[in-house]
Amino acid sequence: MKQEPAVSCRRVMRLAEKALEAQLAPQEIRQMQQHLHCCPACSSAWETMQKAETALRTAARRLPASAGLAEGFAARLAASVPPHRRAVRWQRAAALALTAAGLLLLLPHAALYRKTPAPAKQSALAYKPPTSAPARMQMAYAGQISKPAPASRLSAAAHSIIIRPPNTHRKMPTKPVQALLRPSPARAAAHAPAAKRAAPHAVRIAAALPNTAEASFMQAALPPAELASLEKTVSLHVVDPGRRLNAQLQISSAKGDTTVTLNTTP
Amino acid sequence: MQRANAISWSENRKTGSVFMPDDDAPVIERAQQGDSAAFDLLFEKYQEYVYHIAYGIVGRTDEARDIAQDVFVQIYHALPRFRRGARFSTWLYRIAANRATDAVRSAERRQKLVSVMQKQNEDAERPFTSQIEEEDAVQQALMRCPIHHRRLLVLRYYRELDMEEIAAIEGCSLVAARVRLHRAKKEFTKQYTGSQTGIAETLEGEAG
Repeated sequence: MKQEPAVSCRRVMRLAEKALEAQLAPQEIRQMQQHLHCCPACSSAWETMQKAETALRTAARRLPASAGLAEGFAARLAASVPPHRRAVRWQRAAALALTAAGLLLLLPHAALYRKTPAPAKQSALAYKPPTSAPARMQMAYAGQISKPAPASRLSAAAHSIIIRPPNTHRKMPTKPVQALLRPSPARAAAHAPAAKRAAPHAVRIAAALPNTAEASFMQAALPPAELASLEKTVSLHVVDPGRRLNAQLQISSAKGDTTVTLNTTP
Repeated sequence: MQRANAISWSENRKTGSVFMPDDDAPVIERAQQGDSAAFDLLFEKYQEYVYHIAYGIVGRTDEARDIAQDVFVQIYHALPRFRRGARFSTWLYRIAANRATDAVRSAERRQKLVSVMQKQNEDAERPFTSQIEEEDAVQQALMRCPIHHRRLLVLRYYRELDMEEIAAIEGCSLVAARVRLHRAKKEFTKQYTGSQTGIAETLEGEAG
């Protein structure tokens, strides 16, 4: 019988890889066998490779069944939001960052509202704002009308409105449920000079939009003169790339009660 | 990571892959036109495959179930934009692998955060690796492999895909896919047997 030429360990390992795919030619098998017979290192390595390969292939045959996968799928599909309504991550991150920035703007004046309860911990419908002077400017949303906010106070300065969902994650209500109407940080009504009170200010609204898991940031110019009328519908410019959304802010007054309504339509 | 959102399929230029006939084309066409029965057919056919890919990568049946359902939800919404001529299974497996990968990475990030805050709750916040439900040495070893290796091994062994399809799913060339799989197998063997195998770097030089 003709003697096969000696092959290197490297060559044998390459053949071993190939052998696991069952692609060796008869000559290659002979080369490999001869080498493994006289090379303990390669022989050991080959055994280990075979062991791992067999283990993987055996495990693949014992995978758990996907029983019950269809259960609940319809509900999950119904609850899902189509992609075109779902902002991509960087957009959501940007919206969150903007919202956070808006909230930070309010922080230096938090001392003015010490008696304000934390909105996130409150149920929207059960929310009853306290009657202290600054807190009177808070208004519950979603049908609840809070204590009246005096027209003079509303018209005196620009305001920031924060609309937040209840304290639920990934389970948004169909409407924003709570609004806080506060004097803007830089121009608190009580401290602003009379001359500045007449100047128009922007209303900034940080809102968790319905049916989305993340917050968005909106803003609209709303002069105090219009606020003074207490019945004004404004169009909001939505600063949220990739998402089209129309929103209307309505401030109305009836029998001394003031309602802030934010209607959003995608 | 944008991987999970990469739902628009495009043919891989690196592989130079030609048009691959898709047996599902008629069913997909019906599903794209809103035929729910056709979507059910796709669900029935692929649910097990998607579930196994997810399970192989995350190592937990409950998590795999959630991921598989999410994948089909994503497929349902994205199907109208699925390009005819592309291979549905490749598209589906890519989404499945990416979803599972993202789930693992999120869990790892959470775990790191918890560690940093020194609020480790060993029962509630253990990583996937220690939550494998059965004493499966193979799955345990798989979970110890890096995620990019695990993806390849799962696609190759659990789903038994050919290298061309794996390359398409991974978005790399055929040679690169082979090299990566070689490395993945080497890593798995090391994790499974607990030793360095001595497998030569035979394919490493071919990566280009």
